[in-house]
Amino acid sequence: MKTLRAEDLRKIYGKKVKTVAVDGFSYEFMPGKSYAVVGPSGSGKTTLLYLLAGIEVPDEGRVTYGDTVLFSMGDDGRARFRADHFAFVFQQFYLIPYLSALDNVSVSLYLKTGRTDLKRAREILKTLGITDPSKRPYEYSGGEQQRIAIARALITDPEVIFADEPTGNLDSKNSAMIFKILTGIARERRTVIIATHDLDLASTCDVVLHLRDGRLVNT
Amino acid sequence: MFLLKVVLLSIRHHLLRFLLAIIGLAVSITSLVYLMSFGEGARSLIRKNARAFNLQILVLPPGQALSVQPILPRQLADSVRALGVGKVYAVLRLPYTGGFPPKAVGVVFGKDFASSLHFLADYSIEKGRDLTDSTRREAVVGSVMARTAGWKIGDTVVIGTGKYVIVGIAKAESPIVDNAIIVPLNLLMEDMGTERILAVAVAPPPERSREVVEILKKRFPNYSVQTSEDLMKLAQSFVAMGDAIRFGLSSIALFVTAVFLFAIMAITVQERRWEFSVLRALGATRWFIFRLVIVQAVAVSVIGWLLGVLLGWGLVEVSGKVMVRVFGLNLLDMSAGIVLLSLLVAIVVGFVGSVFPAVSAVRINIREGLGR
Ligand SMILES: Nc1ncnc2c1ncn2[C@@H]1O[C@H](COP(=O)(O)OP(=O)(O)OP(=O)(O)O)[C@@H](O)[C@H]1O
Ligand SMILES: [Mg+2]
Repeated sequence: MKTLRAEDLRKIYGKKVKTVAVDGFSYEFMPGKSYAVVGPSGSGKTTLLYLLAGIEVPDEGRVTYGDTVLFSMGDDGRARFRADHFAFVFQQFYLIPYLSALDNVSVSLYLKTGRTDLKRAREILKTLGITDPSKRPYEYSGGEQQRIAIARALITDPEVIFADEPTGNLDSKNSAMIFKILTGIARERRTVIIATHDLDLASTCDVVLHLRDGRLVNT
Repeated sequence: MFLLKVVLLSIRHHLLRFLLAIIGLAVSITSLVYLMSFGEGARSLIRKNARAFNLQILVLPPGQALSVQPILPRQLADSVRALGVGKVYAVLRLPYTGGFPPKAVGVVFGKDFASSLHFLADYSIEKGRDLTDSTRREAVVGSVMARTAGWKIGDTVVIGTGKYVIVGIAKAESPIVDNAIIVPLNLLMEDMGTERILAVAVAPPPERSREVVEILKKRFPNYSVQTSEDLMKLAQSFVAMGDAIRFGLSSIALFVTAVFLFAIMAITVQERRWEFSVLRALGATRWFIFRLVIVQAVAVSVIGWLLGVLLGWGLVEVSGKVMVRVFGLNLLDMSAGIVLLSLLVAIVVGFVGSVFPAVSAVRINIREGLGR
């Protein structure tokens, strides 16, 4: 079983005024479990997610996934690794405005395999409650848009799913629904890591990690 | 295919902006195609004439490649004939413009009755009859010339001080003969008040042509001996020079278009920073992002090219028709070579206009692009 392991991660921003965004973070994320990362604004949640996904490069420490040391690979190597194993869900949904829901979902599979699978894209969208996938993003509600973004994450069959405040732009009803979906995904032997402000929703995850000033304070 | 779809949809998304680039490209490609068609037209005229003319060697005044003033003694033709190196023809021609404003443009040729060669080029009689007598003031005119000037058999054509009755209409493969007026050589010389000719043309037996050139050079060291191949090369080099000038002219428009495209792509990349960052976060490599930008710009320029080629083609067709009506010959010819050249140019413009924006797209910091 592959685990995502962070070892003594440290990330410092700024040249003159230095901000320690993540300060000596170590943890091992297991497949089949959902994790909520909570903490006040500026506590380093987003930075941590980006470090774990290999998007940002740490100043110290390392991230390993299975036997792979993430930062032993170059920029493009990590990008390919992300396409193969990871997926990302954002607060602002970040669907591409000129593509239909179906094409938006297809993009990530295309990045992974160089191919699209419209049948599969349609199926995944349907299980998430999007029955008409031909419309463009702005024609859907916020909750629907985030579900389309989750479909875009799921179509590549990822092992680890990162979600940075996925409910930050949603009302409570939609937020609960998105959390239900994300924690449910973890049951399929995936690792789900969600950064959030919402402690109630966070408590629906298997594990809650508290960050303060970039440090893991208690679980 | 999916990539192309994404690129085209994104072009449609910013249609107004890209439309400007597309129009810019279309206009500069139109001008490129149109200007280059002149060279192509001239080249194909040269080719057609070269095929139609029998003669292979010309004896010309010293140091000249293409003579315009008759300065050779007529007897030179007899001296060449005496060498027994092939069929010999005394050449005298002058430009002809008839009517005001000029309606018919062509060339008056003297027919050398002393030669065993029928004429410089082959022609057939379409109507009436051929010239039969070196002393009668009769003329055969090319079919295109007859059409543009509105001449019929029995009409009189005035050349300088002389008058000739048209007895036949000739049809030929060569556009020059189609636009010619052929009259007896000695009468033409009389009208021009000259005892001299432009050149002596020699049609040697094919297998002897190399040897005959040497013989003529040795025998007439004070004249210039040219093969029709040399002359064709010379004419082609003039056309090539014109090509370079015309290409230079259109490249100004193309350069402006490339700068314009660059500005548009730079703005687009700035605007789409988050989009590229999302793709990178989802696993797109830097090479993928680079390609995405380049493909978009090249797609824009290929669309512009398509419009430009269609527009240019239309323009070439229309002005070709006008030219035939006015001058009797079409200097414009749009070849597959021009289409391919312009496509290549369009692709290069697309690439040049987008390579720097593409590099800046690759350099975007993912986290900054996503807005923290
Ligand atoms: N590019 C950057 N340059 C300088 N400082 C940065 C940069 N990115 C993040 N920081 C700082 O790092 C710290 C951690 O930021 P981060 O975005 O990870 O916090 P967060 O927990 O996600 O906050 P929020 O809940 O508001 O999203 C903050 O103090 C932030 O100001
Ligand atoms: Mg954050």
